[in-house]
Amino acid sequence: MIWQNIQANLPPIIVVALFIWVLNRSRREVLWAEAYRRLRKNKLAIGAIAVIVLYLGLVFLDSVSWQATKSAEPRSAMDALFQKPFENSYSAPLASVTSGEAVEHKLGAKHILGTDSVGEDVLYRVLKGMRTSFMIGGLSCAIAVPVALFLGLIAGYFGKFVDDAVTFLFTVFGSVPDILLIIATVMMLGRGLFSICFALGISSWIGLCRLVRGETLKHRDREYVRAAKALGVSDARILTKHILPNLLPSVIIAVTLLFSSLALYETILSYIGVGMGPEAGSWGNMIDSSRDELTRDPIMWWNLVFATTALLVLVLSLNILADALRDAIDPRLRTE
Amino acid sequence: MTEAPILQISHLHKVFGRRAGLLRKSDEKVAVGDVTFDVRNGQTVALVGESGSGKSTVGLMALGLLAPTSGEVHFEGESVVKLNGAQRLALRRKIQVVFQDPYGSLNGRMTVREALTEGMIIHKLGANAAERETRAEALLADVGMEAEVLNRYPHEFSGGQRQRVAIARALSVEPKFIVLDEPTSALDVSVQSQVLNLLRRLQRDRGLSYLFITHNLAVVEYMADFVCVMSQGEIVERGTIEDIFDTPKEAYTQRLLSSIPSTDPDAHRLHV
Amino acid sequence: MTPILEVHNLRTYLETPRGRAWAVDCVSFDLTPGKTRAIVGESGSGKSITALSIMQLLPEPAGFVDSGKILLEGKDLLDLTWNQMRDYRGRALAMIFQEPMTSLNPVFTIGNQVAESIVAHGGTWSDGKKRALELLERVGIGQPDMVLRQYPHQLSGGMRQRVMIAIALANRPKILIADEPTTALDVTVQAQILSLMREIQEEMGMAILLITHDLGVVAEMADDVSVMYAGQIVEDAEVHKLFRDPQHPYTIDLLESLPARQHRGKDLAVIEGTVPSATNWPKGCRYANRCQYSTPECTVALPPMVTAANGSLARCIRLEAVHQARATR
Repeated sequence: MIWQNIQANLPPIIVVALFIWVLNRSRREVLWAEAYRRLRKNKLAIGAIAVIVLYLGLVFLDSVSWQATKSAEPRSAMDALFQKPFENSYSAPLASVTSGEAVEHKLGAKHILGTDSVGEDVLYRVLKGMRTSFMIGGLSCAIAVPVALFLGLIAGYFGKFVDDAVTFLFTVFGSVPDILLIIATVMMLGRGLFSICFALGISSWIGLCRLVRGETLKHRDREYVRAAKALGVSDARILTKHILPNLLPSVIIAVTLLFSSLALYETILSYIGVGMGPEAGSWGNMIDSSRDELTRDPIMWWNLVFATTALLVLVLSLNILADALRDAIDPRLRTE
Repeated sequence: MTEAPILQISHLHKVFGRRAGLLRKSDEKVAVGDVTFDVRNGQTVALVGESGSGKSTVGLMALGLLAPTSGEVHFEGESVVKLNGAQRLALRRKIQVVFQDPYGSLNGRMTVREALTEGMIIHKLGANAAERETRAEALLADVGMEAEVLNRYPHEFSGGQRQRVAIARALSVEPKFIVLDEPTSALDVSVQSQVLNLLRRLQRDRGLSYLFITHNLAVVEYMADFVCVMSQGEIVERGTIEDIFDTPKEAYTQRLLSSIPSTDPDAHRLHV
Repeated sequence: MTPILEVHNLRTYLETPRGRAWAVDCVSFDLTPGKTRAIVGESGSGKSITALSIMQLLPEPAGFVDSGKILLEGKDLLDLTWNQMRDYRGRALAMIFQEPMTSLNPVFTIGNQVAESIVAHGGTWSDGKKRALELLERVGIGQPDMVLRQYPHQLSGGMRQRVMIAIALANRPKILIADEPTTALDVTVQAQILSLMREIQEEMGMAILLITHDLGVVAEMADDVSVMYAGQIVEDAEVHKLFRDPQHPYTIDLLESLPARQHRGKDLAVIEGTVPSATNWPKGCRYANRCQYSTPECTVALPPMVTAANGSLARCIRLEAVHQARATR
């Protein structure tokens, strides 16, 4: 049993280990170490990073889970820490009785952010929504970024018909409205995390691909690339060892922004009913359910407000971080 | 001289742009038209011209980095234009290049060590990392830099130092021939003299041949054995330093020479 | 003739991440109508910052004039308000830059940009257009009426520099500051632009301050020369004296390091070492660490400008010794 539990938790642990390893390695690289030093001087950025780390920590808590017995539902660390017994119905934040019912019931526990229609703790739902946002943002990026990098690099570097083909591809993809493409894909593959990520992935690589292609075009004719060719360096190595590292700063900034827009997209999809299923904890679902809560008397505002706040803080922090990265990664170093 | 030239360029043409197509007018532009010259072993041949004269394009074709539209480039008697992969790689070891811009010619994300050992790895020079390190240190010493700069990045160096690193990188594969594309044009005068001295010493010590591409006629007068003056893609005049600078025959060469400001304030030749 | 512009002890600094860099440190010179003074120096010597200090166009927000006087016909430009200074720029002082592509706005026609410089100082647009045509003709542009309707990218580098000169001349300035005006141009075009500048100077009698790194351009154009090194003028001489009989060791070394036919087969003279950092100038002579004639005495205090035997000014305390050492060599 213990062994199975460990096995089930390997993916999140590997992801976290990889993340820390990459950060740690880059700290030893002189150029990145300088960027970190400049980043540390930016107080706003430190705040944004703190928020993101807090979110990440909570996501991690929700990602490690164990089964008590073979037949039991797996429970995450987050469930153990924050899950509370259901109440009968809605209750306002910090209230002691339910509201919106003919008969008021006494609450079994304190609910800092209140409870929702089925009496579930709103704080718990907000926290559960984080993992969904990060999973969608992360997995969609994991699909979009490699595609964008690969196509952008080869299009910019080889030019000619390779460029024509890639340009054609993203012009076609770009001319289909994103939302239609996503809805069609989700309808085809069925609702669920992976089909949503796939849909978001194939609709969001275009912008990054354009950026990478343009930057590669610029670097292709730089003298350092010519000098590498003169040394006999292969095309594959020129792309991965010479051009790609020079693009990384702008790619990292673009991916940070992409991640935040994808997290936002999940909410929109849930709102129009093609997001995660209703059983999944997601901010989009919470905002969706608030549609009729807002028309009731008294207004049940807390679902909407807290889900939106959690989302807003995340997107804002990511955007601040992207901005700070732009300043930290000295543009002079990039052009030289 | 009976010795065959190390580099032979014959009837080289390069046309940029595309032919007229179904929905397109032709935007062809002749960059190089019928260029022929030789470089002999140990010689410095200067290719002189103003911007747009096609001199750098000739340099790229001599390197085999740009395919000519027609014409031939022979290096040590073998055609550079039609090569298979292995032959091309072998050629890369023999011909190297140093570019003008010391800021653009080094990869900003690579340390000096990576820049100097990359070519060695590709051409299997030096059995292991330690041996390559020793070679890299020797190269740096040869261009007048300390071994401790191996771990540094280009942005930490001045223009002159970068150009030294770029020269060391070119030497890292032990070439016989180097194309020097405006190697001192971006440098200050006092640094230029250091780099020119270095290039001359390396030529002497290693028996290198140079194709020196420049617009700076004073440098040509000092460095070159033979001069080709290019204008609008063609060589308009060629000869020794004495031929070109003392008795120029073509109107263009005369105009070019009379345009150079002299450092003699009494000369005042500039009345065009 | 009385000077039109006098610069006294100008000190300008730039705020950099590594601290305050004294890019221009106690620079003095003057300009005379109808004459050209060249400021020659290598990159980082402070020659461009000197020009920008006079125009008060220092990079914002990092550059500041700390102290000194810039007297234009006796009036200190540093006392003027921003608006007064703007009126002086263009009218009394005009400037042309190295890169004529980036100094012209790519989205406006040439005619528009030349006319604007006239309108900016109180002309009407119809006046401006008429004057623009004259000006383009004056700077030697063939078919000026066609060029008026063209955009910067349609012109060659030399043509663009001619347009820049036309704009600079629009209000008949008394002083033209030219910062590396021909560095981006081919030699044949450079020759044309330089002779155009000389022609216009003869006609309009303006003073030219020519900033350059090219000693050939200096010999060709200048009447007086200030050699700058590490933020200071190290030699101030009449042009013939500078080339025939240089006084300061830096000037001597610089002239000897020029490649030329007579040095063929021999090593060129080099200047060993590097320029000290502008954030931390040494106490004594700034050339001492690279100078072959220096003694410990040179590093004690900053040398003053000394009048040499031939009348040139040089910032060196060992002029006699240098002279003797060279004579015996």
